[in-house]
Amino acid sequence: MEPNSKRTSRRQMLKHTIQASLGVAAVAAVGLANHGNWFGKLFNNKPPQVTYPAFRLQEISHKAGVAVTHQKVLLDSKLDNIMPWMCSVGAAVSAADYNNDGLVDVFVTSSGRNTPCHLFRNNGDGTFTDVAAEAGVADLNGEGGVMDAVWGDFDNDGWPDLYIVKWSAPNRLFRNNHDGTFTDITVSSGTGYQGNGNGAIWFDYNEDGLLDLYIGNYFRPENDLWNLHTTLIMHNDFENARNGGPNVLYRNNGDGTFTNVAHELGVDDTGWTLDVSACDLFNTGHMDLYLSNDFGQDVIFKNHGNGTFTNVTEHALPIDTRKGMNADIADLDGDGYPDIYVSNITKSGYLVEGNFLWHNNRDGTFTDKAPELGVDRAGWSWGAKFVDLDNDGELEIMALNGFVSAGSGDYWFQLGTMATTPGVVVEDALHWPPIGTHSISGYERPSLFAKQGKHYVEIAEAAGIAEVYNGRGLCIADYDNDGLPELFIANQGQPFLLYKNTPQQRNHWLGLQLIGTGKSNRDAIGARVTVTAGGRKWVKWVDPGNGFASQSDRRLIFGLGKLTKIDALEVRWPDGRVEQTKELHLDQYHTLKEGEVAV
Amino acid sequence: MKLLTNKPATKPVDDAEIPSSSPRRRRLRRTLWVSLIVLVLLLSGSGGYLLFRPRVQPLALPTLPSHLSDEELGLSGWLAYQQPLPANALNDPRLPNAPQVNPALALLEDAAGQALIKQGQLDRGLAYLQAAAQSDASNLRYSNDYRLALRDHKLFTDEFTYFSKLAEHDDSTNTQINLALVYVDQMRGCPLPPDGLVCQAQHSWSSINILDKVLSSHPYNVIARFARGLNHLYWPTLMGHLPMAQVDLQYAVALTGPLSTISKDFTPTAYIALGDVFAKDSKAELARNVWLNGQAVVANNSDLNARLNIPQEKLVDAENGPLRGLGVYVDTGLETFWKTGR
Repeated sequence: MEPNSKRTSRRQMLKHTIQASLGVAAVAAVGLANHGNWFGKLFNNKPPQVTYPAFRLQEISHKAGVAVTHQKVLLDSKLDNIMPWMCSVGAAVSAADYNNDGLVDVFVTSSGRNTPCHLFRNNGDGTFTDVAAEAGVADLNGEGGVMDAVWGDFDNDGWPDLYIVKWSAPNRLFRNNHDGTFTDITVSSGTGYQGNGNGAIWFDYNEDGLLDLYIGNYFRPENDLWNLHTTLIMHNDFENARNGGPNVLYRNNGDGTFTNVAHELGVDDTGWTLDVSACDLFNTGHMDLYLSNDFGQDVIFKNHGNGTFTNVTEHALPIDTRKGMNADIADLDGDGYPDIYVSNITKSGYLVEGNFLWHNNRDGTFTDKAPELGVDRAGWSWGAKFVDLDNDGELEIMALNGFVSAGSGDYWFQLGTMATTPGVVVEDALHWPPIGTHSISGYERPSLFAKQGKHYVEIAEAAGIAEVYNGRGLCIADYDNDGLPELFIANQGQPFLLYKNTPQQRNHWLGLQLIGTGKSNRDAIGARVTVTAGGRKWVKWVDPGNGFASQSDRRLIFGLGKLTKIDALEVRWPDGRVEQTKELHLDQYHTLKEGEVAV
Repeated sequence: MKLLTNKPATKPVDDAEIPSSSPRRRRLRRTLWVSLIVLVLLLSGSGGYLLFRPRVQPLALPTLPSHLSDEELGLSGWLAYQQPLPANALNDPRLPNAPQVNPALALLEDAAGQALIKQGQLDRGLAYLQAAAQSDASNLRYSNDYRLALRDHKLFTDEFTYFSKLAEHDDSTNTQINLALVYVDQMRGCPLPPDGLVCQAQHSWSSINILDKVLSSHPYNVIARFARGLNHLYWPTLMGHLPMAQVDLQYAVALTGPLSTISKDFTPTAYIALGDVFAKDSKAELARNVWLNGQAVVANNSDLNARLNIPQEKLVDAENGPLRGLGVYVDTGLETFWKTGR
């Protein structure tokens, strides 16, 4: 037995020696490898626990019959070197129930010469029919190019009218004939401002019960972009440009005519306005203006409620040299004061501005909380909206991204070089390096920020947003009246998209359509609704058409999560009247008419 | 053909046939033990070497001329720069009641200006500092003290006005360098990032443009090299300035050799900056190698250690953010190039 035992012992010894050697080598290898700390990463980087709701967004534009492609403008050939830049806006979408059948319809723009716009009538079965031609609102591109559209019942007849914002041709106002058609009353109404605008909203600034119209303009009005006499048409600074077209405020005279009072009231801002928004920012009961200005400071005009405004930007906002393109307004943090989400530019390695989330400090000032909340980094952002996709009572933020998607090269280097070289007269389009087939922040997916804990995470791809287009107008509308808002997306020179929203979790909700009477405008734009339930409060305002190149469904949807009833509802109407109720069933829409809200 | 046979050429030795206590058996066992110990030692040694091998690789630096003069380094006045400031300058009877442009009084006025500012007499202090600077426009020390005083009190317009006018009439190297540094200081007048990035970049562009001209005729001027390298380093990565930063900062590191006879204070700063170039370019190992080289030259430097202690996965963000992001204010003080005591 001894020899065998010895043999075993030697074998064991050999085995142990080899094991020890391998061990030493392994330790050395691990030590070496761990110079890159991959070992630590392997074991320590646990995937974050996902707590945000599971969304499922499904693109159904073909099935719904809204699969059209936006056509871009083609401007004066003097701008050929930067034509992709110049023809990069115009795709817009606006929602309203134009025929009062209880179903929200959408107007979708086209901008190319003689290309038709679309009015998609909601058939109530999940499909839409383009009735623009028979309605008389299809052929709007015979001169100039359509940039935006906004619905508003300016004559308080209960039927939405349509205002069209154009470049280098008179804007157009169409009165609703109550029979599915419209009449062009641009000339008689005096609303045919010929500028180069990109956005408009309807709101009653002087609280006379009549909707007025504010228009944000971009290029100077004297520049006909199809027939240029000069190439000195661009912004004269990348961070402090003030040489844009003056904005317009049309006061509704109540007799079917309007008067431009922008200069008289000091709201004819000459920043390069891409989007105009309004809400009661200071909780005074009056609608204030927020201007998203490209190449410089965004502007806030405080409404005094007596028909006058004061520019309070310097006090209200920090210095902003960014590229404002969109502002949407909602009470994100539940304090009853509106916060503002503004799109800017984020391009890693070149210009990381980040989008703003202006938190309302309730003292007349705003502080950017976007980096802290994780909603700042998106892309070259355009239309962006607050939306509660699953009615859990927490707002998500959706932002469309992407400027010009073309060849594999990126214009950013040339753009950055020009912008940072002192002395280059950037106002002259001829001084801009040719874009050629370069992309400019192209092929960027939209961003969808969902709340997770105290912060937000970006979940667009996980939520089902697969398409990567140059998004512009984002319209949030519940086209099938199921209480879940859908996403209508106008892409620049690219297909229009409709995302059906089917969240994993269904929650309770309360839908409201407000009708103003008395001294309130009939659309009740600016009305403030507070819902109390389960010890929590939600505040929403009836929207004037906020957001770049878009207008969302004006109805209000309150997501209530698992709560099965509300404790109270209060409406503060535009004329100041306050009404309360609590007798409203959940999971359906209610029409609240001013003066008739049950106490 | 032997290879094809299945039979072994010789009969294998069967361990069992050898008595365990035989001398041959003991020798075999001893040999085996020794071999195993040697094997373990070899493997342990190899492992240890791999673990603890020196990881510092020599840097690829530009070749400098065998001898560089103080003037070529841009520090011909370094002996004067190192003179201690007169104590109690404000009580010195030689100090004129009103500032005078007088080279003989410049050091005293420089000291008095700084003392007055410390006492809160900013305007008077600046006047003395300006007089000292005017007494010898090429004296980097006096212009540096005046420029930094203006900068630190956010008098960016005054700073620009003085030094740009000076540079209009005096194209000496040091005057041009000062103007280049003034442009860097002007960045502090831009909005805080991420706003004001174009404003910042335009000032940096102007600074680089001046330094390009200086370095075309004075390639070994360590101040100009470092200033231009730093300018390039802070640009957004995709604007393509990092290769230019690398060249300039490699020169700056190489120039710490000849500079060391004047001062070693700048040495770790140069290594840190060069490492930052690689770190910002996501080349963490190269960055670490630069910093380890710096450690080999300047032992126990806390700034170098701090860089080396940044976790690799956080390095790029740190470089693009608080360390070398566009909008991070750069200290344009020049004293480090002649400071004594290290």
